[in-house]
Amino acid sequence: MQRFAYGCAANVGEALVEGGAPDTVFLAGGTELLNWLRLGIAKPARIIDISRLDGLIGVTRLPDGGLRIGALTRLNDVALDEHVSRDYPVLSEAILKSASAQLRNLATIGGNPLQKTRCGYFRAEDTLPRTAYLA
Amino acid sequence: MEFRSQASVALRVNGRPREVVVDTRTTLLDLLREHLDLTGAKKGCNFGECGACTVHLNGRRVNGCMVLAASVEGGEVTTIEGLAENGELHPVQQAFIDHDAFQCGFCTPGQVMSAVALLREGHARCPAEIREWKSGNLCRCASYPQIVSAVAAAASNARGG
Repeated sequence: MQRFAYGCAANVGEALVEGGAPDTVFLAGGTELLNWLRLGIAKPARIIDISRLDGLIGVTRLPDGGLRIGALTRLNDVALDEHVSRDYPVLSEAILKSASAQLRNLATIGGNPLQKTRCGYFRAEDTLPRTAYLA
Repeated sequence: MEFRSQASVALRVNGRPREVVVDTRTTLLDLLREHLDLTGAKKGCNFGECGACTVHLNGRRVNGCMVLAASVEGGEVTTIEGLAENGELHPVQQAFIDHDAFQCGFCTPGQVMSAVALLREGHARCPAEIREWKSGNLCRCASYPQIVSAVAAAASNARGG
């Protein structure tokens, strides 16, 4: 894993300002990023930990009857939320079929759409560095 | 915001305050195994897929290999070494022995930590639910039937049945 500089964002504003710098990525649940780092397909110079930012976690009912789901809400918390499981059961069931309980306790709903396809052949134009196998 | 490639991480592990200086690439798993000599959590795949590194972080079961140690600042970690209290095995540990739920034992710490959390979550209402919610813990020796029995028994005992 290439060395990186790690920082923890105190608030959304700070995260956005610092996130605009080159070679900088965000860390939320980390369930994708850590594997990309180990594979060598991500080599950021800086990692901004946004996992503790306020105001981005939780499921709340909206006046029109919909739901607002904070991007940093962990997958298990989204799936097991009473509003989600009662009113949007497909979302709940789809989440609960994903990964594992341990990963769903880390992974965030906002990070989930940012997954890279897992198949190594699909990513073949980014060849895996040989050292990934020797690690 | 300060960016560092080395970080001092203060956390509680098995009830004790610990402080370690680590390269920020260090995972929670490596912090436990390499820096705190808590080798109970195992490095099975180092990719988040086998569950042998399952520990409790702030009350939830997670794969230690999928967490950067630096992001655990101020957190509370429980490992397999922290389960038995006053020399007495945790009921789940006892159930694993009673139901012959391990062969080589390599996956076992992760299985037990995962099971303890699963019981707390209330996801042991039937064998099918146990299997589904323990799907993040692989066992190459295929002790799965005995593991399910052990977890079911521990759940039943906890219910007073």
